[in-house]
Amino acid sequence: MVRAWPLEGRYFLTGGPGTGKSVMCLLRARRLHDANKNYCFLVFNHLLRFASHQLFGIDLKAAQWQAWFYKVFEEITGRKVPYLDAVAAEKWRPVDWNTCLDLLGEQSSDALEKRYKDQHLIIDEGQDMPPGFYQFLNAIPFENVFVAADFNQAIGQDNSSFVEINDELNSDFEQELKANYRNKYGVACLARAFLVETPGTTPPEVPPRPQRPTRQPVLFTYTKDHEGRMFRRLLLYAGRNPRFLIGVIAPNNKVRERYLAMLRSAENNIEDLACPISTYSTEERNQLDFSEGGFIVINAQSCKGLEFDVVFIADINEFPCWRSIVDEKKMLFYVMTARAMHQVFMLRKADQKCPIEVILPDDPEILERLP
Amino acid sequence: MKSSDLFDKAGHAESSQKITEWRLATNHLNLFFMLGAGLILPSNAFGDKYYSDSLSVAPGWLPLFTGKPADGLIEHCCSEASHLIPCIVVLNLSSLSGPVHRWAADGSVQSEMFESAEFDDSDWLMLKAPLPLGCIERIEVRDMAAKKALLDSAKDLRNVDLYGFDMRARKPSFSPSKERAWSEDSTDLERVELNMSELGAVGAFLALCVKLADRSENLSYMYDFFVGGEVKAGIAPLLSVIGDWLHCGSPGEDLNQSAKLLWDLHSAIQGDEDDSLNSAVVTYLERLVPGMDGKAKVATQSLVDDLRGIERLTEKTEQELLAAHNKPLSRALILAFLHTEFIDFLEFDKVALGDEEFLIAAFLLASSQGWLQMPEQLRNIPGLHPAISFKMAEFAHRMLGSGLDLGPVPAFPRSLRKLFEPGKSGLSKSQRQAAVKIAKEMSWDIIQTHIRLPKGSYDLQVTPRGLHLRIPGEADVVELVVDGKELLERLGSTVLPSSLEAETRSKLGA
Repeated sequence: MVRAWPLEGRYFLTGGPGTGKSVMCLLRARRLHDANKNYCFLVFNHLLRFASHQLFGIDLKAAQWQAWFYKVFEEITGRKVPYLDAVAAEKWRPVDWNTCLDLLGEQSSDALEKRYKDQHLIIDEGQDMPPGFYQFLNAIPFENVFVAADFNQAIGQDNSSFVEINDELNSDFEQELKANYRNKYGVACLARAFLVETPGTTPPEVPPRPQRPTRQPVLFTYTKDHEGRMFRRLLLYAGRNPRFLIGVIAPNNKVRERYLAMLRSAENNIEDLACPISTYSTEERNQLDFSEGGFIVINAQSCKGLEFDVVFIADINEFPCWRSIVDEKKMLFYVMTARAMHQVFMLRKADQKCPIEVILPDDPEILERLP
Repeated sequence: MKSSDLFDKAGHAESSQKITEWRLATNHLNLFFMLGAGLILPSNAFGDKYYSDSLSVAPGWLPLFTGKPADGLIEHCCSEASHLIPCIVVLNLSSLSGPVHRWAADGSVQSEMFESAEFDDSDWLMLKAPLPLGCIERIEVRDMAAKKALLDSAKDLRNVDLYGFDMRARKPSFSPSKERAWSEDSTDLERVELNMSELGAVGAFLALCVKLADRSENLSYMYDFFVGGEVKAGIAPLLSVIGDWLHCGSPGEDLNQSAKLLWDLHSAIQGDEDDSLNSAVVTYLERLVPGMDGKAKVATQSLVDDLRGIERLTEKTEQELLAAHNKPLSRALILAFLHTEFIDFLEFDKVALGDEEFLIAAFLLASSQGWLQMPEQLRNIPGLHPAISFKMAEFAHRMLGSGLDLGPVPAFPRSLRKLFEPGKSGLSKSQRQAAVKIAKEMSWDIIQTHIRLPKGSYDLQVTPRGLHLRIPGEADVVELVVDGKELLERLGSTVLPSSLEAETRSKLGA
């Protein structure tokens, strides 16, 4: 049904992880591209833009949404985007959307309409763009907009709710996707254990339970003495599954760098093993390849929207967790685990505190603990 | 006018009375499913992906008409969703023979032999499904807009390839019959169930065999056996199980212990709700262990542990896992668990495995994944799709005991190993050219340039740009020499890109 939606118009697609929202976005981009339409595929972060480019092909006209917004705002108003003051001790300064909209209001509406009448926008992970952004799009107005969103995956700051997007989008068609095409039974059950239901998206269906569930998610605890062996096991796993794209998701940059170094060092010590190991950093971003097997080591905040055959969540001890952020952390674990198609491994250092333990499922059918 | 002209025309007129073109009214999504599955299927073979069309009138059957569609049928074919595109699949059944049913306009159903039956325009033909895709003469849609929408929609799906099908926009085909109105009233034909996962396993196994045949002379011989159907003597018991399954639907009696276990594992995979190799095999073996004793118990438990370890973080390498087991079935299971993706499996070259082990692993993988999971690179081997489709349909009719004869089997593609078989004086010119092209595209170092020079002394200069050999006049012969042995070895463990595979086969006249 979604694939048959006309190219012109406003559309709102919701659905949980693995229901095919991003695929629909890319197929729509392909259609617009083939029809020589002026379109832009807006994504939440640069890594997702990079991955989308590789999945679609180099011709994809994609942009990180803020970069696109800053450019369009300057084109229209001739001014830089205004910001509010930073909140408390945070460095991050939110966009002053009210002033943005005021400045937009000073422009000739005829000129704006003429300029953007034929522009098509496809927005993936639409829940992560702020409400002001949708007000901005509606104020211009963009007539051809396709938004895909999952409100159970809102892990960034300043997200939009279902109602906020719906009010601004005023879509011609709306559809919710429910079937989970990505996660195998074990992964889907684990993701479900972290779900914090938010209005706007029904969580995807859990696939039927096989006679004997395979590739059960595992929490693997390793001691300092066994660290080297643990990395060797990871490498051997990749060697046995050479076409698997394996995501190693780290709680912070320090752990990301440690895993990267340890994996590379372990790879050198295993005979006959050539396993690509890459990361997303300023220096190495161009070496990422989502179309081949191997490890991609990334930070938790960058994993949104990506898909891996297998996910390792590195050193879960390092994820902070206290009472007031339990739901936030659950959502993060929901997003991280749901990236995996076949299997999830969580890795934990022995003899260290593990604040995140409070959100982990106790049921060994859902998360097996080894050793 | 010659008398023979008159005779020919009269003869032609007489034979044209026999209807060979039959029509199936459906919608584009059902059509895509059938193309992906490799068969023209009945309504009850689609699972939850079925949208009502003409097939809904008799599950297990193909209702076909000639001439115009019944009044209301086209609307029925796109009644479930507004974006459905009605299509008519025109089938050529000239090779078909055997028992069929005539469904007359008054609702009566009568048994006939297809080859001798005569049908009126208002009669419908009811055939037990499935039919091979090779029967498709063309696909008709109402207009150019529908044709474009259908082609655009197909681009989104990996396992649907409309290339090679004659697609036409033909409005008259969609105008309703005045003699017959569409009715979903039951035809009283018994519901027939197809075992789709078994059919998919047949297709997948044969497709894997085409590529495995490149590995060795023996596997090439086994490929001929599996697609040919002749019973060959001296075949290992485990392979006999597979051969009997392909040719008769099940293995013979008096199976030895390993052969029985192989068949039981196949049945367990087929019986698993999601055809999961891992789930079905480990569960089955775990149940066997308590009833065993001695060495067999230890070996089976060790196999179960290793199979379970593969999906976890075992410290064993592939080599160690395979070296720990010596029985062909155990090693085949390890291989199948290690490489569940078809192409990974076909390209496995880390450990020397026996031909039998490869074939058993292929059988188990095919049992769990089926033809629908077959990647494009294998699906697109020229000539493979029609041959596989035919074999799956033939297998289905054998299992159903329908008595339908689908006609001659389309030729299966020859293995690349056979196509590169050298003649008495080595590789032919076209073989050499094809090999050079493969070597260049795949960056294989299997070519040498041989330059034959007349006797004499030559000036050899080393410059910063490289080595220069100066010869007076022209070199006698410059030729590219292909290392044939190395070529076959690499072809044996490489799945070529579709375009290169097709170009190679075309160069070699296959």
